[in-house]
Amino acid sequence: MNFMTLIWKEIREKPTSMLTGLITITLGVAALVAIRNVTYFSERAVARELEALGANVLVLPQGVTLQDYYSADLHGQTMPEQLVQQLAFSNLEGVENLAPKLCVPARLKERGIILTGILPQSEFQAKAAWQSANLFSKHKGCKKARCESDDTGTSSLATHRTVQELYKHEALVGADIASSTGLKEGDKVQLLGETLVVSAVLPVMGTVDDGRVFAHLHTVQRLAKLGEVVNCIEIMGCCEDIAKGLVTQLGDLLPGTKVITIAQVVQTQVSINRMMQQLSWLFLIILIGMAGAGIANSTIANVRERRREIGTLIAIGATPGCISRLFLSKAILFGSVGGLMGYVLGTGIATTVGSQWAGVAVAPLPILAFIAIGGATLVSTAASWWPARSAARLDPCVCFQDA
Amino acid sequence: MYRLDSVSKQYLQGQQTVTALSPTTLEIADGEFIAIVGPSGSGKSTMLTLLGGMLAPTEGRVWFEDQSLYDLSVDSRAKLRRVKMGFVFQTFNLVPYLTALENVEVPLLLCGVPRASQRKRALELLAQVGLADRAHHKPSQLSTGQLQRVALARTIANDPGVILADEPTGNLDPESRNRVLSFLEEFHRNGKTIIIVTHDPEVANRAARTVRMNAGCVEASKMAHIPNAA
Repeated sequence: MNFMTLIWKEIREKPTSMLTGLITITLGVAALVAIRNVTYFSERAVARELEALGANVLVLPQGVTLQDYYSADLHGQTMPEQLVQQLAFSNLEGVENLAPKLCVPARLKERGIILTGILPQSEFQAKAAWQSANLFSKHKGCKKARCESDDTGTSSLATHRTVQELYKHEALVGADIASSTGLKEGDKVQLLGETLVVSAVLPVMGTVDDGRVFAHLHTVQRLAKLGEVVNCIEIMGCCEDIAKGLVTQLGDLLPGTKVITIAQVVQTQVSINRMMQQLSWLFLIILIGMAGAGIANSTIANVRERRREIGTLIAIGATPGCISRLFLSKAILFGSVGGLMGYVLGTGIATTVGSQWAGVAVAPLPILAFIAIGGATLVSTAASWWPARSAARLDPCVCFQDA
Repeated sequence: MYRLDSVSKQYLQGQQTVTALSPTTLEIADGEFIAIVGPSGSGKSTMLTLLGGMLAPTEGRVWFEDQSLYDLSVDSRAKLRRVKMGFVFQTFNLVPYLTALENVEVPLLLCGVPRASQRKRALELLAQVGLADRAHHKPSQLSTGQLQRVALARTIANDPGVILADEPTGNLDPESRNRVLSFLEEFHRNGKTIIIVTHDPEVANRAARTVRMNAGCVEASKMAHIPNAA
């Protein structure tokens, strides 16, 4: 026989006495693991969405209310185009790309469309070369895998909200318009009284951009007779720099404008994540409190009902250390088993209901197993420390008293 | 073996000091068979726990094999009990969730005896007390007489020099009582010191010496007539 046999036999004899503590640990850990698991994958999903959106900061005229990210430029209010240059040469860390836009209504083959003026990247680069200035200064310590796009085709309009090259007589046609009008590359279209050549049909983006025609910003300004203005400037900023205060810096640089981050657009998701993260901490505190109290309570009850047995063990030569070890080993066993069961249950809940709960696919996180088992063992051991100590100090004379 | 030098024990009960043992001087030689007798509350159990190194006296010194028992640390006294003292309790005090065999193995476990040796020794001891066939029975499956015999096997597991017994026959029928006393007499014949607390005159008569206690005082210590001693 060894000490573990002694502990195991006692547990097997009275399994219900410790069941409450074990259930408390298991449920507490399960809740914690489930929430942390869903939060982790939800945060990753949001981060992926932010990356996929490309531009994540919008500069709009003051007073514009943002209804939809993809139609942020459809409000009719304008601001000077000069702001674009101001931004491009501001050397603000984290500004990776700019996409100014001007939208005007137009008619194409008897149907109303939105003609959107955009400024190709080549214009910025030409200006930068001409002024010997640095364009979009590289920011320090960026942890993003890739800050600059090597995508220079028309699909970059979807991913980075801009194109590398677009001549003043050219137009890019959205996928929906191309399919409804039968337009294809090389066709000529009449827009606001001027003939433009379709340089490309854009791939399906799944946004309102599919129903737009894009032309050079300066062409649209001239045709609409609006002067050098834009409706909105989309900025592709580094997420880390946005978090560090890029938006505030932009607001200071461009007074009289409204600077909005995509984070605000997905604020609901972000706030849910935050709430879940806080909930997981709350559950951690509840776990420590409830499981600790539950374990301490059942250990105290266990010590009380085993007084004679403890006294006998002391009488036959068990040292206080042996007695403490008996109770603390049991606490470690319960903590680790409860932690493991909680991890399995929590991961099961997260993976099965995670997709319905948070709309994300959730996979098991092995690191949580270590945290769950380690944390539960620590709580269980700490909660049993005082009862174990009192058992070790028990007066062995109790074993001489008649039953 | 034992020497008590003006040993007394007092408890505090609320504001009141209760004397459990008045200053007592007593010597117990190696291999003695002593019965401590007296009415309830006379200090018999206090005396036994003092001798067992489990209750520090208020005053005086308890010498065991020429070392002052209570000048040793708690751990040292526990280790001393493991190898040199054996206890027999009135209520047997077997661990209820362990089998008879495992109960006998407990003192061996505390002494760090390897598992195989524990088992071998425990089986031998159970055979010695006539319970080899009950080795795998739990205490709830044994009669009171059998329980006390398992307890006796546990007591002598580490071959202690002294056996301290607290009313070992108090809960037993006459036949079981005789059997238990026979075992104690046998241990005594094998050179062990037996100190037995009892208020049963018949049990006391089987001891070589009787120490009579009353109200915390040792009233008399006399050699008894042992009719069936070997």
